[in-house]
Amino acid sequence: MLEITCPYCGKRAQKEFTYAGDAGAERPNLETGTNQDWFEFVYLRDNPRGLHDELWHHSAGCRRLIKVRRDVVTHEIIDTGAPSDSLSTGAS
Amino acid sequence: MVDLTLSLAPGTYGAENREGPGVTVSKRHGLHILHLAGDLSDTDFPTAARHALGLPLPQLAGETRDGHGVRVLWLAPNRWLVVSGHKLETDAFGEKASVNDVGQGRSVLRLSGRSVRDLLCKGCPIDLDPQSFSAGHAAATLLGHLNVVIDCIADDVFDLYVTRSFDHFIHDWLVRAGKEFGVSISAT
Repeated sequence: MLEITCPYCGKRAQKEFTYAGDAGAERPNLETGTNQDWFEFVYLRDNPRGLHDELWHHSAGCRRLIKVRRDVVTHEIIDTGAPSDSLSTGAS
Repeated sequence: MVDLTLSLAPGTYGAENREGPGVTVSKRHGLHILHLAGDLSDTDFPTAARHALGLPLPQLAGETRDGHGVRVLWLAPNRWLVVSGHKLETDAFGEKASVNDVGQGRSVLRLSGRSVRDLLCKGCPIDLDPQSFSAGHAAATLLGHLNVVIDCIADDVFDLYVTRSFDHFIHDWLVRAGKEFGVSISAT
């Protein structure tokens, strides 16, 4: 099980969180978005090897959405923050 | 309100120890429980809260404060649980906060005894070591797959806030998980 540091509650078990999707998906503009833009927003996702930004919902804690930068190969969590935060790259 | 949920019959379940049961479970009645939501960045809100509750709002994660018969638990940023033995006057909040009475929807169980931490550890993913979770700390978390709020009152005394309809389930879980320690269910 992963341990995810909630920026509001501190370190908690993955069991308390619900995965809420890719944090990088950008919602098309309501006025100008084309069908193709919407199709890509709803269905198409990158499948990167390595670092990935994701949204997690702290559903059994503070019930806030948080952003998690995770290495999908090693499961290492590099950084977490509020959805609007820019996260560290983990490079030292 | 008539209590429609069935709790387990009072008595002692599980192991029998010379020192008595490791955990005692009793239900707390007559509490007024409010869910308070307001924006701390609006300076009028904490002032109104202090006025209405008689104590400042806890602002650190997992912090609790009490005084004048009122206990305030930090649940999330800008969210608190307010527990009191008497009805609170909340008009002072005006438009500054959203105040909801959630008392009828919660069961509050008082757990005490020398094995209470060991019992909670069996179903709760947070670190319950006395060094990191002591009196003055509360957390919204899970217990046996159920969303609960755990409030540490003293070293071996905890309050458990459970959705009322899961009252029987949580009693059952406590008795099963606490078999090795011995669990006493007090008459309500």
